[in-house]
Amino acid sequence: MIDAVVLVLREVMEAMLVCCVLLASSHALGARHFWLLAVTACALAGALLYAVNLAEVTTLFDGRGQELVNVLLLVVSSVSLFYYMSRIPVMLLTTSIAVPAAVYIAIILAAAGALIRELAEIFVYVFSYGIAAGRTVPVLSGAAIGAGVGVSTGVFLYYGLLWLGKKRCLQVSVVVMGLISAGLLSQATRFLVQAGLVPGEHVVWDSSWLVAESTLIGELLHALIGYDATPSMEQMSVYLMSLFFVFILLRRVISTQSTYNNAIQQKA
Amino acid sequence: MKSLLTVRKYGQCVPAQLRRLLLLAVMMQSILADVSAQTDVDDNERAFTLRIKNHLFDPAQLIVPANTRFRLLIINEDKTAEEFESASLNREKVIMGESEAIIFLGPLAPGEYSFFGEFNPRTANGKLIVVSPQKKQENHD
Repeated sequence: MIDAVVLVLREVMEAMLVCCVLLASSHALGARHFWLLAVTACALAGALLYAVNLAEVTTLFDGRGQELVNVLLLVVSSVSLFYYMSRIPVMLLTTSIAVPAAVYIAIILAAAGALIRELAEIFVYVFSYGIAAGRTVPVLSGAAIGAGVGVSTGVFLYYGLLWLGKKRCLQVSVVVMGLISAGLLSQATRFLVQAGLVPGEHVVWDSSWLVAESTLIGELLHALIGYDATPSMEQMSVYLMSLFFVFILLRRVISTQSTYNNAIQQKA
Repeated sequence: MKSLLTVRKYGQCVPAQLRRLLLLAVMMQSILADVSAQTDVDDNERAFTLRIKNHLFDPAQLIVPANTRFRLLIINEDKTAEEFESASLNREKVIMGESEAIIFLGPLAPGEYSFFGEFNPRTANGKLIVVSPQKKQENHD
């Protein structure tokens, strides 16, 4: 049961972070929360589909299927996050309160992409070791506890972000989303290395003596900033390039916020 | 030389956008060819086999050569799924019950790289022992 708690908690951390930052920032922009239902439906259906077909998916593309599907999910998620972040300044300036449909779609894709991979792994685990092994109750209750801890952390973070106020909430959200999407792209690169499609032989550093990835802090840092104790050169370049774009987006958000504020002050 | 000239002439008739598209197509093709060439080479690479039996890795310590690319074939003989995971090797892959999976590895520096089964973290533990070829020879002697 403890194994199930730890496993589920490890898996949901990153997806939970993506979801609650999206919830808080979209709330600050005046979006309604109905998209969470669409995300839940998409993620559950997608993860179930992935989990059921995992054996076949693994054998695709000369045994690289699993890696390539993961790369696709990670890239969809991070590209959607980048699109969403780039629309924030535009939404701040437009007078209409309604959030465009494209932004809702980006939010749904970003959250669902982050959830599907993790949920599929949880489904495989719960089925293999719970339902098929006749240990349904302990494994499912362990999974529920893990998910509960994850969700309550998410709720805590969500209210924490809203407590910052609209302006700071958006700035912090862009920073967090930017770090997460850079981390997602770095993970995608790692899967390409694992599939033998990108060299990845030059490890830039090894900081496992300081923060091992298997420790709690390592897991948290992995979810938050995409921490990797032994990153390859390719991973590092993708990560830094993404951070550069995040920096540009953050500057755009901050400058839009200040012009917006000035305009209001002049009117008053 | 003649063919080069005709190509240049032909290129001038093609609109700039189309030319760019063509260039992109050629680039994509060369990248794809590169990837497939790489996979052709991969087929000649050495493969090492790791089995999962009763939620344990067999062998628990696998000796592999340093500074070379190789494939790790993981055969899961259990009915239950397992996830091969290693932070030091930077690899994670789910292997469904009674099936197998390939992981590409290397070139690795000599040393020990631990891995574990995420679904059975307390029992399924193993190590990849990477040795340089000369050392391996000495061990055999």
